[in-house]
Amino acid sequence: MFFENQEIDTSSLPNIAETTFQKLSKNYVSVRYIGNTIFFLLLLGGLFSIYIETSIIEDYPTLWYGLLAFWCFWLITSFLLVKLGYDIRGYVLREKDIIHRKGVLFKSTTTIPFNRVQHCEISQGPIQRLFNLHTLEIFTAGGGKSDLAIPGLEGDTAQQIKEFIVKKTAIAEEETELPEDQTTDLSPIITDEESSISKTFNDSNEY
Amino acid sequence: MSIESKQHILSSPTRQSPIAIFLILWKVLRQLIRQAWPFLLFLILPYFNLSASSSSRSEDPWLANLVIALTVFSTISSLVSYFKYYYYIQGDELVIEKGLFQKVKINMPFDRIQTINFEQTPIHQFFNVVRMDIDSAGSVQNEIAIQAIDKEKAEYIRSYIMAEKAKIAPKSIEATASVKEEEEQSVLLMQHSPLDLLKIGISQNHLRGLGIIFGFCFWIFQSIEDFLPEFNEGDNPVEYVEEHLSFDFNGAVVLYLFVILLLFSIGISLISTIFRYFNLQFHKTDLGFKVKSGLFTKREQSANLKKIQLIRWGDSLLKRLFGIFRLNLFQASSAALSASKAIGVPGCYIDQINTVRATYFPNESEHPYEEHGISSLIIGRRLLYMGILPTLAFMGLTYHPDGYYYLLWLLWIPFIFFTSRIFHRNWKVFINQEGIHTEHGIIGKEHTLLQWYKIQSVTIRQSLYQQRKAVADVYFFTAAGSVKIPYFPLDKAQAIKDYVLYKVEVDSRDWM
Repeated sequence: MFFENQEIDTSSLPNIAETTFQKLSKNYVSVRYIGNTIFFLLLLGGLFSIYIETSIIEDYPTLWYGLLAFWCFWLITSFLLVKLGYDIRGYVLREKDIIHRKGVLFKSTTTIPFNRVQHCEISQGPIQRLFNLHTLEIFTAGGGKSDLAIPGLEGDTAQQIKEFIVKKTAIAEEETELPEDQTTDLSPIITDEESSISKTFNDSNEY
Repeated sequence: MSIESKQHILSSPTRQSPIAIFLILWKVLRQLIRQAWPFLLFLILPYFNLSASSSSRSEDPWLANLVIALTVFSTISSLVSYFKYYYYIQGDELVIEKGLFQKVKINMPFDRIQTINFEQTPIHQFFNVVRMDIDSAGSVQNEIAIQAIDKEKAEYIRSYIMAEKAKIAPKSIEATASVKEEEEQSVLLMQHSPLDLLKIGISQNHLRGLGIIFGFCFWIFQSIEDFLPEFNEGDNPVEYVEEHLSFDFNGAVVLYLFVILLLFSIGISLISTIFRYFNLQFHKTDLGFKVKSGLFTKREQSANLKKIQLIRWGDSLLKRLFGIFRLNLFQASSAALSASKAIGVPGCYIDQINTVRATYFPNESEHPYEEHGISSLIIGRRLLYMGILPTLAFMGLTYHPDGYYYLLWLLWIPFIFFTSRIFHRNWKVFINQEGIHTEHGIIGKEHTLLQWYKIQSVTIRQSLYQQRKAVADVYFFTAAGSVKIPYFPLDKAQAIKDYVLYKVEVDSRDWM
């Protein structure tokens, strides 16, 4: 046994590896593709402005072709990473915590218990708005590194998860019993009352 | 205004007082100037230079255009941030919505709000508005600032939030109130003697002193540069100095220079140590710990025991000879105070370390520790990244077809190999039911002690190589700093993560 001398058996603890991760919206890949395309077009524009303004192709032909090759390589890698990253990225909402997994080259899985959440934010960039996607940010008191940002949440999902977490953080302090973590399906948890709140919110704010 | 209408105001999205437009504009302009002042100075200076030809002034309309463009930009951005900023109260939360392109909605539950402060500049006073800062424990992003809001309304919101907060958690407010009264009692744990100061000064890191010396030399060189012949890029600096400063370079001179530099660096460290840590007193109070020190500017730092998230102590080769440790207490605090998050005592003896340890982690000895090591794969990785790759790079840079000196770099590889082996052997993780104690370091040892219930998120991170080898870096994040275990076997990492989450989720103690 890994942990000796303790009140509970570790093997009976809920295991993160066994839970299934909820994937992000398929449209999130498009969002990232569009973002990447814009970035690489701007970069290409920059490269060509160098080409036009200077005589780089005569003076340093190797450097010029190197830059172009690097641009191509970087472009292909970044699109590939988006695709691979999509398969890895996901979240699990459990009764007492939220898990987020991301990263291709560095795969990281972060878990924040609800009783340590300070507050949540929903944000939406211009490209995400085209696809009606939102980013849910979860903040803890540590700042920076220990915070979570889950992008690519469709429609009301971000709002619903946020309401769920906010409710959990409010009651977390009173609870002392053992956790019985299970992967939680969202729909039964969000009561009618809550969805009506989020609906009125949506109506009034064009979300 | 009746209470009902006030509550109605609170629950519907409200903009700030229109005065905010000017205040935001002022803030934007100030930020612009602060960011770009060297550039602006560079632009404006010629206008004050009377000797410059006066004709160039009238032919420079682009500066005027730039000023106009900046003004228009600032005005539009302040208008946007005013008209797209709403605050309201929804249930037990204060909600802020802002942003045009990047829409942001911040919900701040009342029980997370630490303090609500009002600030009034003369402009605020004139219009009878206040700036409202709402501070929650944690990062900068968690802070809400309403630039201008009617004073009456602000006071009403504050009293409303505080009343609601008190309803939610009456206990915590009582606790903080009672805690403030009995602040006086304290026990002196240690006071630095002049000998302690000397020990600390000598065992400090002298690189900073060395940096100061180099900076000083550079400044001297720049000041007298005008009187010296020009230093061209291709010149050999040694020859240059020999030629123009009548200075002979040989072994003895280099040795003297080295000794002088060393003595100067130590001297600088000693002086700064005396300035900072003169008459250092380390107190244990009912609330936590307090450190007072300083020769001219006296500093007093205190750490509330409840706010202390983790403690670190460590030594170096010299510190070990003297038997002293550097101790740091990491405490959670709001963003405004984040600069003084960690309070430190540079020279502690083992007794004080043990006292602090026992105070932070009262029942540590009741739970026996289990010892774990990290994976030996870390040796290979360190050898590759710190040994082989830099060696190849430096060999490439210093390669010369006629010389063999560049081969000397190869000695670096066995050095890194042996130190990495020691590094691996010395990395120890001690785990018990209530907390974790890590110890690592090649010569000096760095210790970290963390109680499980202080943790607020756990991350397992794997590079591609680590994924293949089933090892992982484990991070435990707290409200003040984190603990990392590198190259921990994946199965152990998963088990420890599940255990920690379980401990945190069932623990109802106040962790900060």
